[in-house]
Amino acid sequence: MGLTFGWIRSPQQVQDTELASLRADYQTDYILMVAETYLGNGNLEWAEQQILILGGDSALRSVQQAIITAESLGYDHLDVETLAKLAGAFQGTQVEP
Amino acid sequence: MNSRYRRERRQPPYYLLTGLIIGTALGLLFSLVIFPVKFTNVPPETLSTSGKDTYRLMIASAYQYDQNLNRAQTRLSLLREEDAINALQNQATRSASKIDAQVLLNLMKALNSSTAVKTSPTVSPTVAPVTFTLTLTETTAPELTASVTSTSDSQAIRTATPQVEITQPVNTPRPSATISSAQSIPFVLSEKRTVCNPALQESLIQIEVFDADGTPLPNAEILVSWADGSSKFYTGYYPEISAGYADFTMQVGTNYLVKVGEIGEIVQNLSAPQCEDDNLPFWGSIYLRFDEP
Repeated sequence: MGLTFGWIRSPQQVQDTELASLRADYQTDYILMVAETYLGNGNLEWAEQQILILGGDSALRSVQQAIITAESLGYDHLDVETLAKLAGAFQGTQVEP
Repeated sequence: MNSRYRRERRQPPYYLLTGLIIGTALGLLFSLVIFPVKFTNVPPETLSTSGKDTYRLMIASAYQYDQNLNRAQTRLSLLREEDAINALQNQATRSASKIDAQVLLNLMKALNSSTAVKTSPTVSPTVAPVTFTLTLTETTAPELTASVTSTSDSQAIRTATPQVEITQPVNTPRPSATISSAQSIPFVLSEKRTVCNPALQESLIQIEVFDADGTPLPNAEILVSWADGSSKFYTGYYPEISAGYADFTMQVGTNYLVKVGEIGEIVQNLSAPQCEDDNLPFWGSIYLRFDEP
């Protein structure tokens, strides 16, 4: 009875979720926003912190995953390029912000 | 009771009830505390308040650099808030960082301007096609009501940026007078004094803006300029002080000019004043009060 109430009956409304629970396409858009901001402010440490909020082990891996998702969803090539620039920055490539 | 065989009273099966209670309690403990339900693959509208704040700030940050208002609007609509502009303002006022608050207010201002243009009678009703190319369309229908202010909201707070009043999408739209923008209010300097407070670690220009009723006015644009630069910011960062308050840190030895709104009185030659505390000199602050005439 307790399990039924706690797992099935009680959580009828999805709310108070965390950024880490976002669907992959929303996470990709979030990472794109981070990438857009990074190209403006050039603050790689800040970008890494923002991406790790999504719960991944590595910011680089999260960006790479975002690129894959973006390509599969048909994002504009400029957006994919923006993500790629951030991934490049994480990989140590110097990118002109 | 002389019977040789004492009849035993039948006990009700309490152990069953005890088992039921303990089982239920354990079930609740497991399902609500130890292994609570975790939602995955959720849309942004379901985020917690702090999650929405983070998401909203990221939208504003991205807008700050790409200046793509359509995209920012589409992203904000994912949060499905009744009044996205108000949400931006609220977050700006409780933001811990001044920079974050400024970023949020910049987007809010852009949205306000955009709404003003779209609802202006001189503008063609044709809406430009949205060029947003992301395919986040499953539950992302933009809510047109997100960026408007209801005319029937008697609790509406008067703000400094143009608040465009448009009617709700009902059959009987009615024109209404627009609230005058604080941008076009000729604020006048009504008080100027030196603040010698040793507790203030920086020399500040403390500005407070009031409307004609004497109510502190949030979101009034303030321009501070000096010989080789300028800064634009808004009142309302520190609601714990006053909704009409804002401040600016001065560099000692620099002269500043302050203006509120676009046609407010210009106050010139402001510089950090010298104060003394127990015969120890320190740099003080300046308080300026502006009122709507």
